[in-house]
Amino acid sequence: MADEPATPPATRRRFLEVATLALGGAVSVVLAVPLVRYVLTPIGRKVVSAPDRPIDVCALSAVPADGKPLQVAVVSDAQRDAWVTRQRVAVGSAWLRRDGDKVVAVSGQCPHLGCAIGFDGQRFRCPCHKSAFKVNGERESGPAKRGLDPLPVDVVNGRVHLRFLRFQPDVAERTEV
Amino acid sequence: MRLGDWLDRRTGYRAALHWGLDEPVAGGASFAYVFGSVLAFLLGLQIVTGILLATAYSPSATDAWASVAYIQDQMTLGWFVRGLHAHGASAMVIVAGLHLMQTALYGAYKAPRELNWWIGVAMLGVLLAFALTGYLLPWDQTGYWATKVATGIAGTTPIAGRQIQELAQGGNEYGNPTLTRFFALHVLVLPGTLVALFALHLFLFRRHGVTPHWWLKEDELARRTRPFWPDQMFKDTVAVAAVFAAMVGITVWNGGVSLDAPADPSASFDARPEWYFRPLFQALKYFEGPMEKAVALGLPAVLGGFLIALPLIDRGESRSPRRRWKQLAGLVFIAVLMTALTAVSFREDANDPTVTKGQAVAEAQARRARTLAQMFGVPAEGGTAVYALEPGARAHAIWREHCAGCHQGAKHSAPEIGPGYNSRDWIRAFLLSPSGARFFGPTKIRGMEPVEVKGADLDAVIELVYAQTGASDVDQGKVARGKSVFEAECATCHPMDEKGEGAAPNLGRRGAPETLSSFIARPDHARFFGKANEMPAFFDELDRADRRALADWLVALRGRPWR
Repeated sequence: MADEPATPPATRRRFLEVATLALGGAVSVVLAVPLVRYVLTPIGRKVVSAPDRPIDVCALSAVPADGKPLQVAVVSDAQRDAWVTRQRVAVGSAWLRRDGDKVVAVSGQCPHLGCAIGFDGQRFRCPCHKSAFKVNGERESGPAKRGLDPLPVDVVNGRVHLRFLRFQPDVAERTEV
Repeated sequence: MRLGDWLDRRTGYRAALHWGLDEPVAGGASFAYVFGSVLAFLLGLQIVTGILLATAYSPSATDAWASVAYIQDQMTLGWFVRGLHAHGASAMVIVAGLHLMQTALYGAYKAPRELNWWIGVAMLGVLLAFALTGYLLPWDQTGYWATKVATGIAGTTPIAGRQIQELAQGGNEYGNPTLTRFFALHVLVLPGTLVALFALHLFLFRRHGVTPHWWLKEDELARRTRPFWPDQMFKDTVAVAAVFAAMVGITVWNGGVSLDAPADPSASFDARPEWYFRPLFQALKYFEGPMEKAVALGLPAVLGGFLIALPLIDRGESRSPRRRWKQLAGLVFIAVLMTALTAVSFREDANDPTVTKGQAVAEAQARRARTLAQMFGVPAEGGTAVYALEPGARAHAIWREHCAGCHQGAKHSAPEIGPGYNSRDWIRAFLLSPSGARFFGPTKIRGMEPVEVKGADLDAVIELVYAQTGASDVDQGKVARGKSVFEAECATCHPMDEKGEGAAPNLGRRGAPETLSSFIARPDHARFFGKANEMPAFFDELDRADRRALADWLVALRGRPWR
């Protein structure tokens, strides 16, 4: 084979190289664009529904008269979780407390990074990063940037109804998500 | 190129590229050699689309259909990704078949390449296992019933059939373990096996090189030999682009790939396997009893056995097809037989009205289920629970259980109720023949004479009665005229003030949902039929919500034509 050219003429070779890369690139782009868009589906989409109506959490009489906080489970009637619809789904917890003749509520989620807070008899404490909050929800110490998130409460026929809102974690300003 | 130098010193990528791309292709580039590269591309495509599908798929008997419907109808371009994956599987089977034919024609199964031929045959088996396991994963009607047949066939294996079947389906019956096992096979075991076999296949291919044209002599082959890049790579890329374009075209044209209604073990379904199993499906139709089992297990065994035995049968030196025509004829015979069986199978289906009608019903059912799933989500109870979400589904169930026996069908023993009930046409027909076969005929109620008013007066009375139902499309002028006609002709027996009781039923708000609901509870109330009543009271059997649902459903009938 020494007397024959081992490679095709340079221009032909160049054409084949460019054409191969162009064709391969076109296939890649036509493929990549829809696949990336598919992956980005969840961004900005309400995949899991949030309860949009006030939720009945307990009887008014169950909230201690002495102002001690009471933890209640927030159970939504129905939840749409991507492809499934479920009945009676626990979506979180809240703390109820009497404040004079009113009932007030704070979310059971720490405003720092969303751990479930507890009450030690004196103050609310987050077990994860040791944020502490006064019984009225004000921030006392720790990494949390704001106090506990208040939730709107209504008393209807002797039952406590609350609207379960969620807020952006770890920012000083409260913004609903 | 500084970055390239930096990277090359640390990775040696240039040498790797040289190894990968500058491989000599004996006899030069040819479109005959593209199939392997196309298969490699398709394998990569299946892996990528498969991973994307797995990010949104839930392998559980209650969730699987719902999650696939979610991918198909709600995720951005989910139908496209799913369609590419399904049509990619078909493309792989087709291209693998072409690859097999090409390598067989060129005698690539001969020494020293027998091992690589067998690895290829094994990969073909893995492809079919992929297809079989993947078909079940959506847990839709087709996949469920077709796969049941497949595991049923496995269950007829001599000696350990039952055990093999239980092992495959993960228990005595189809359920969650069936799906989790098929899923694990489909996304872990089979991909691992296929990729390992592919690596071996490629390794051995590189060791022996391409099997060149048989019609060229050694020196001519050597003279024409070129490196893989760019000549062969260009041809490969053209083939890849053509196959990909065809797949995208088919996917877009079909809106992805079909998704049937959720698997329903209580519904009969005429399932068909994936098209590449059609030859076997069709062959089974021609045999009965023990022969059927022998064919179901024997046919794949014989075909696979022939492919495996090919290098052992044909051990001659020559790769010229003329000297191997018997062996190649065997392959061609298999290909023709498979194609013919497939064609006959599709033809029989297309010409069988039962099948085409069944397919139309199945498509309508699938549309219904998917629309409901998209609107409301699928209840946690599982795919078939979507139907309960349909507006009126509860009412229809009550109707079937409590009402249809007397009010529906040819032998109805009470006034017939169906589409058009309480529409103007229905009221007219009733007024002109209250004791007709479709009205009080089958009952003992004979108190009412046909209405004798005619023309505009009759129209006005009809409008008045129609207005009681709460319909919104009422002509108030006619109603006013109807009232005076009613006073003169009907009011002697029929009160119309909601509460009044008379010799005949009160017609005030007759046919409105709350009146229907009260009537269903107590048809023997003096306001309705009183002592003349023959219908059971449903006050105890149906609670308020059920009665109201039924009443709303009856009201909805009014908007349909009365025939």
